[in-house]
Amino acid sequence: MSDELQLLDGTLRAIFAKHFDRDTRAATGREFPRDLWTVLDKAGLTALGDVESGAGLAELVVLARAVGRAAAPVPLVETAGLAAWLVTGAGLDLPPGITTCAAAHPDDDLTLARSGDGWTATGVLHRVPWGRDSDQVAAVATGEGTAFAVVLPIPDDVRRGTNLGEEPRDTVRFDGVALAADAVAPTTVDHDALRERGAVLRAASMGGAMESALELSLAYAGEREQFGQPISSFQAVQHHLVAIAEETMCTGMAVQLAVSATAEQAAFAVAAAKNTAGRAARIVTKRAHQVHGAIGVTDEHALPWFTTRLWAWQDEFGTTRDWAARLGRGVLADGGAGLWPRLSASVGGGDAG
Amino acid sequence: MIEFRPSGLTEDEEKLRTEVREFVAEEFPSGTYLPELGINAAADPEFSRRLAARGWVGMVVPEEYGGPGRSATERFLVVEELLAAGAPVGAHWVADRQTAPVILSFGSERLKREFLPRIVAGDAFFCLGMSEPDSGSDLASVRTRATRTEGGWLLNGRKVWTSGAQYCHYAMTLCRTSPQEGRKHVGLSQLIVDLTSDGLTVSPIRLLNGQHHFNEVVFTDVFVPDHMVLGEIGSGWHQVTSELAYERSGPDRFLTTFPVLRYFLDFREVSGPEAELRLGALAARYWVLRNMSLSIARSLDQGEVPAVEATLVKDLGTSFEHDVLDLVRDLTGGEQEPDGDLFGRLLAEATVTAPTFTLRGGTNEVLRTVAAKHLLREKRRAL
Ligand SMILES: Cc1cc2nc3c(=O)[nH]c(=O)nc-3n(C[C@H](O)[C@H](O)[C@H](O)COP(=O)(O)OP(=O)(O)OC[C@H]3O[C@@H](n4cnc5c(N)ncnc54)[C@H](O)[C@@H]3O)c2cc1C
Repeated sequence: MSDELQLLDGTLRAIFAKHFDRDTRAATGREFPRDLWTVLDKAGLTALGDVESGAGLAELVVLARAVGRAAAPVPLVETAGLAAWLVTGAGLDLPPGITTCAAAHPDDDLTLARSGDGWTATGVLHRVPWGRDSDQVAAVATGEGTAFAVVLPIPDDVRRGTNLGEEPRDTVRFDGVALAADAVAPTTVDHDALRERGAVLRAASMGGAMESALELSLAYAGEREQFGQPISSFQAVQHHLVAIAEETMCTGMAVQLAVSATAEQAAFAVAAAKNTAGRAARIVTKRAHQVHGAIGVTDEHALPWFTTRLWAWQDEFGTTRDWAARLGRGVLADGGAGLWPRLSASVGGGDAG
Repeated sequence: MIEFRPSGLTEDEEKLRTEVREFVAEEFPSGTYLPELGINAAADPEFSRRLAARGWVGMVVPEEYGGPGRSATERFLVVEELLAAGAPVGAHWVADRQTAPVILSFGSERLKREFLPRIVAGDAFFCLGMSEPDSGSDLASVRTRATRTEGGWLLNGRKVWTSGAQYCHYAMTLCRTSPQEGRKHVGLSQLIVDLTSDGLTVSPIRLLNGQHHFNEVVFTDVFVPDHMVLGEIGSGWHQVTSELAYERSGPDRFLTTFPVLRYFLDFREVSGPEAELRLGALAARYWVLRNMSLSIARSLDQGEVPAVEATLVKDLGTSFEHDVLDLVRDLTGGEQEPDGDLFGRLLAEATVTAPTFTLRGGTNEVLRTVAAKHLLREKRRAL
């Protein structure tokens, strides 16, 4: 990591450690941790993806990874990584308050119609992260055959839902909501582009959650004793630890490759990142729980903060299987002669080492 | 936390790769030959010398010892093209991957002058005399021993599984040079043994499909002159373990079965949802493994010794080589035909030699144990 990225990572780690420690998490329960959000907001992190700020995918991957590593129950990835990028990229301002982002759900359907000087928006956004806790939601809508970036106020009556990690995933309906002309702008980001960006950032968070699952597993294996010795002295346990480390490394690498990919490689690299993270998540969750024994499946323990998210995030922004199919169609289209050049294509960045 | 950094290529590296690709395309047009499978590849000394003539053997040897002085990364780019095409790299493989770098690191000036130019020219082929009948994973327990004699050492003992001893010129031989008292890692040395020496016999051990790949090598009072000792007497264990980053991380640890996949796509009708799903996941894994392996080559060039990373990549890569075969078999369907067309023959050979992938160069069980100890040690240090 460059010095700037390291600094950003350090800042995020410090904020989560200080403002969302174990006790705070326990005290907050299932409430939205508003104090934590305020700190993140004041530090400018919630708008990190503003295209004017110069922060690109590399910075947002650091942010998403830190969110995963801390299992922080806030829509930071959605606001900073998706909404800020989508909205400011279309030339709109990111409004104050919490702006979550639509999750590029396959059933999402949002259309715009002209009405006087402005527009009206109609449709449904599914499984919007922290919909109930947000002030507005950024989304891609279609109107008159083109894609627009919009920011919509969240109505009061969202249909509440959650993911396996108990993170809010709410369904939000809009029925002819009036929008001022300056809340809508044409965008080059379509539904697929939003999904790709979301997929890379989710994969980054998954890598972060895997790092924490690995750290917990290494620590526990070193300290838990059975048969008069630490369980880390058993080879079967050692092999679990190594498999967790390997998959965590693969995920980290796949995400970094998506960051470094050239424009031509991007679609492949993104799909590979989310598919890799999804497959790794299955192995990491299974083995980390196996190392922890019964204590790991209690709600007292930290391990489920990470494993439940890993179970949930595999399916968000495209399932592991969706991305595999997409990669596979590319492989078949390339044929035998095209496969090796595709796999060995150089990523960007010279000998960036 | 171990972190791999993606690495792009410089213009010069891209240029080198284009040259290698053109060479490979000319030598190995798909469908005209039976590809070799990674380091189980047959030896073709003529091919090795053609590569050497291009400057692609012993690439890391500096100019003062007759080499082109290129980087580990450049070597990586050359060998991955050769392995992906299934080239017969057997003859020069060990000398290029391992012997040249260790002679550079530990060899005397005389050894460097004597051997490096010949390795670069494709004129000196090496094999590895490490394993013995009673010493496999527990390599430090080797019993082959060398005793002092006038001007050198007298070597006695027996090596097994010595790949390529039937055509190589020298064996890098691990042996005991002082009796074992206490720790078995002490008192080991590496000798370069001329395979035409008096008292040395090489006999084939056939692989399960009848192939002559490895051998038994027996030493009876074989004289090894002093100057053929690599590095210091007694430092053998340290030297052998420092070779491992070179031995373990390369493209040979995940590309062995790539030619099978290539021929499958070239010569069979492949389509449908199952093929898409499974090939997609496979492509993602290749992409990640290759880039991890490349990033290790970069670290070597920066003077780092990424031994644990190399261990993990070897474990992942060699296990994955099996997954590739499973997939190709499932999608091919039907019975295998070892005497069928080129693809059928290749798949059959890969299927029956697959067990070697996760054994040679340190079994995956042992690799995982080594890696786990490192991870746990680092964790204790951080606490
Ligand atoms: C095709 C091929 C080529 C080879 N070429 C060479 C060569 O050129 N030169 C050379 O010196 N050697 C060569 N080898 C030998 C290779 O290095 C050994 O096979 C390897 O080190 C394992 O030793 P072994 O076969 O004696 O198995 P063993 O060490 O007896 O192992 C048998 C089984 O026990 C397991 N095991 C052993 N110890 C442990 C432990 N501590 N913890 C957990 N599990 C354990 C192993 O993982 C394995 O599953 C070659 C092997 C093959 C298959």
